[in-house]
Amino acid sequence: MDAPPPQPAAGLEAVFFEIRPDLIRRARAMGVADDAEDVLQDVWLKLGVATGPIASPRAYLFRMVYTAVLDRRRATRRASARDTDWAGPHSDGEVIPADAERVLIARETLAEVEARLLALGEPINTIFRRHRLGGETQRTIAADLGLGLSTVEKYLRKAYADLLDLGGDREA
Amino acid sequence: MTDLRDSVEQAALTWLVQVNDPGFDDWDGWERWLAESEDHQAAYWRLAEAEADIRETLVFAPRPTAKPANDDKVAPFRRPVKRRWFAAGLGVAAAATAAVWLGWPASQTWSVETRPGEQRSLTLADGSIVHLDGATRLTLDRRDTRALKLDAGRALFEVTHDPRRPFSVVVGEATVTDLGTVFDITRLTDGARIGVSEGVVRFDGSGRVETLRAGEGLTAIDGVVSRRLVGEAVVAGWREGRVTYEDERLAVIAQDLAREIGRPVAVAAPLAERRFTGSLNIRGSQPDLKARLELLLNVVVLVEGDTWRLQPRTGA
Repeated sequence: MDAPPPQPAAGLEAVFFEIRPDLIRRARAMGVADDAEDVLQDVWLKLGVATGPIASPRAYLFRMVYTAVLDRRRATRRASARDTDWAGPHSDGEVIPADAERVLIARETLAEVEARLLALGEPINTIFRRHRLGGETQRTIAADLGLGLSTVEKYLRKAYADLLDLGGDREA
Repeated sequence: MTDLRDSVEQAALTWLVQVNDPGFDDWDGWERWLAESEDHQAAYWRLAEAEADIRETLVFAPRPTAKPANDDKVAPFRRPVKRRWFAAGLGVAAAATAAVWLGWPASQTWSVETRPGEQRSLTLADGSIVHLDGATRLTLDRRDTRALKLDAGRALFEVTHDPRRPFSVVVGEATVTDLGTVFDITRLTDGARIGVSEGVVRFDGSGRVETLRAGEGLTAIDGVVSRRLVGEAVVAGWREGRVTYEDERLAVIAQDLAREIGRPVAVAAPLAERRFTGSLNIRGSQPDLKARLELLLNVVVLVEGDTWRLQPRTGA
């Protein structure tokens, strides 16, 4: 994708072209190196499918690059995990087909995630879900629940640490 | 050494919690921290990927969400081995979200899919617009954004004209090429149906090449190509739930119905050769729709579990 399309680009597409060199640089800084162009192409393809007005095009694009890089890394990891972990946690001599095994793992994972969130109690459970599933900002949730912003951040940190099996929630 | 790794992990966690906030805007600060050391990068991405996998299991959870066996205490669980977070993900049973992105960054194609009854419009990079019907799947190619594939369902294409770069859609074994147009394609179980509202389109399939102009259409079914007039104004009617037919088989109409209502629609053998000419409104409540179909198609609609079955009316 070397040149802008024939039609005059508007809004988000115009900003994309304007700051494309910066986006490439950022993608590289996130560690994708040779794949930076591919990452930008992923972002470009999905640009036209934005729904609703966008307050800050630059911030929106930075996040799109971030998400594209993250998804690419996850897919690579999944692909290599499939190659090496064919046996899975349930084989005791019995070989289970890969898809069934993935579904089993996913169901168990979900059950454990749900159980951990419940064990964290309220308001952590609700705050985590509103933030990560509902897409609400920490600021919005804090205002809505009458809590301080740093309190909400602390609760989220606790949830993350628990879900990720990290030792405690000490500040660095 | 453990303390240092620990503190890197804690810093990575702090950043992750911030980055995931939709209002986050300190990308420069985050980047500076990442650049300080490869350990920072490794720690950050390990946590970010794991957290994204975890979030995804919740996003794609079948509803209602699972509850523990007892209400008063949480059922015990095993500490999972870390690698299992990575193995989980899109292996979960059917996603309930609209317009699911299906694409692996390592491959060159990506797809968009709609649920039955759910219509969606996409704007492509060149300004072309594609309107998807329900139960439709469209595959795009990163290498050529004007080469698409209609894997299932129906879509209306409004294509920006560019003589240097033809816009084409593969449907089954046929290819439809735009020559500057608005056109409609349906993937049928045994072929394809094309209608042109504006401009000119070339159809290439079943051993034939046909040129279709505004108001013209064709069906290619089981290798047989039949041209027909479609009426420019009605080509896009399906977007408002209005489908128009000229001498069309019930089997084709049944497929359009199935896409809208999200149930299989079967046609009894005695009705195989029955044809219909006219317009149908296929929106609204299912009881109303059923009654409308019986009247307009002169059939009886039997509901057998999930499936609607069209039967001939027996003489009164």
